Amino acid sequence: MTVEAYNPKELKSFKDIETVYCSGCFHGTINRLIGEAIDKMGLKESVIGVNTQGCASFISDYMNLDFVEAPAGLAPSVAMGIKNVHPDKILLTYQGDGDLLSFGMSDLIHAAAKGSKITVFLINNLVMAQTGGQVSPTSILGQITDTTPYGKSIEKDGNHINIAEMIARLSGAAYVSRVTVDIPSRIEQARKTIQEALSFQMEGKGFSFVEFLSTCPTYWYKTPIESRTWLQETLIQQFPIGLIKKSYTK
Amino acid sequence: MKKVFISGNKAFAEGAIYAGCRYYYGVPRSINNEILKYMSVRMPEVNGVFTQSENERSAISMVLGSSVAGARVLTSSITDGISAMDEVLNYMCGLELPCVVGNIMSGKFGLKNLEPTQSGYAQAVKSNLSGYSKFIVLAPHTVQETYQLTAKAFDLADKYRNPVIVLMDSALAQLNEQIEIEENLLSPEIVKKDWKVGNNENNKNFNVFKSYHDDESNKYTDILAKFKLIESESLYESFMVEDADEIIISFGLIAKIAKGIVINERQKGRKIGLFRPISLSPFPKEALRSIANKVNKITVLESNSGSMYSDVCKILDNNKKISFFGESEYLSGFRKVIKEFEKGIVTV
Ligand code: SF4
Repeated sequence: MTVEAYNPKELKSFKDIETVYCSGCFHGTINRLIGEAIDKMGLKESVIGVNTQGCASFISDYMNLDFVEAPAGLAPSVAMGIKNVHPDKILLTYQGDGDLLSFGMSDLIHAAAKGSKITVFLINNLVMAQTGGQVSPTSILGQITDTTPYGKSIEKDGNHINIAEMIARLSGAAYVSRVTVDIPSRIEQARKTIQEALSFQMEGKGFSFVEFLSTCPTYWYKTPIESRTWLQETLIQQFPIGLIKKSYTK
Repeated sequence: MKKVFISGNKAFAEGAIYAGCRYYYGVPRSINNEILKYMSVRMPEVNGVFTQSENERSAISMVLGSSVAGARVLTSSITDGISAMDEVLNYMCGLELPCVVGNIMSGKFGLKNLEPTQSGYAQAVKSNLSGYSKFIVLAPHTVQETYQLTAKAFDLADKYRNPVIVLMDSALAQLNEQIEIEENLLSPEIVKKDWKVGNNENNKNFNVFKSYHDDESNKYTDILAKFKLIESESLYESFMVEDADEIIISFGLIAKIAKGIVINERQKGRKIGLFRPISLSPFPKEALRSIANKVNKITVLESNSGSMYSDVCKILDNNKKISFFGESEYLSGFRKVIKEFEKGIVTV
């Protein structure tokens, strides 16, 4: 597999500056991949981003794009409001699992069901990170978090949500995929997936959704290397990566 | 101009459409249902967008989106529904995003409690928002005025980049009157907004809206400084106050009832007048002070537990001649009020 190399200094949509992300966190890589994909598609003037709360909110500092910060969970509705006024623009939201699935489940499901011409990027790191590492709807059983000190339990907390598979069952959802960015080949695949999701929106095929299986070494209480190993050996089984749905019918 | 016979709800919708609003997002909620039904027909007719949202939070989030994209945008709900919008409205105040929100005052709480009240005064004027956010609030007292003030609300919202509340009594929302409306609609592009997103074709500057800024130059306008400027926009009506030695202070539909009381009592030779704040925020403080200085007796009449009364007392420095008559069981209650006035007695 050939991996395309981009010089960060030459990227137009992405700023080559120091980020606030902790070491071993995948947010930085994903931010840059979104910038690379937008540059490659020549969409810099067309994209409007909606970011939200949590560590996912910092993306607007690292992109040369219009960005609007939405209150917790509400980015899909904000994006739909913008899209109504600018149907020719490309709308993306960038949200963590706590934001999108705890606060914003209703807005997400309805945006997908309506076949809204927006693209939602979910950065799933299994924890509410910026608020201090509390349990999230995607935390897996046994996971120790700030608010599950004895581990997430099936009786008390229920199991994790595989949202991508749920979204794919809605007919309004045209493109659904789950990716990760732990090794070069998967990074390359993630960039292609971003491009494909955005092109589905451009062609008016419906709602597109990409889940990035991500890391949070800080609140997984692991080193960056341990985090990547846990993701590869344990999490990919719970959150299988790959294309889930491509639908051309509206 | 053309004459139409419509309800306060529809006048609210038509005032917005006249002002160039082409986006309405809302949720069914008792008295608000008529606006949804009307907009679902009218918006497509004027090439606009109508969306019934899942709940008030989604509706106001779509409002935020269309506002930040530069459009004139409208939503409405009953007072309880507006409470559910508060977090997003707080953002819109903070991010300086204009919009117009119809707050139909009905009931005390809950969905089965629909009697007309003026329950929304404190919510609109004081707001449940953070201490750094404030609305401009306009309170019409007739269907005609609902049409005009809703159109004006868009100008104020855009001029000061702030949400504006049109505060309607639920009885006014449902009341039908013959009114005059404009035949030619204003252009939706009436105001140029360089700050909007999606405006970047010809320049390199991107517009980023966020709740914190490291860069000092990017800070939003201070709310106190903004509301100092907005003070100059205050609106009021004084009715038969020139020779009055007592006045009633009322807003919204209750002020219309109060006008009837004034006319009745005048016929009996009583020197009574009415002061009606039209903008509740900014409150017409100076006008109230100068009229209050000339009278011996002031009665605040409103259909709640005294939200405006406490503001009036504060503005007039707790002057002892102010009494309050509030009656939340509106219609039966106000029959009682009229009787009390006829006797010349005011319950405190
Ligand atoms: S707290 Fe977690 S999600 Fe946030 S930047 Fe650090 S590693 Fe990334």
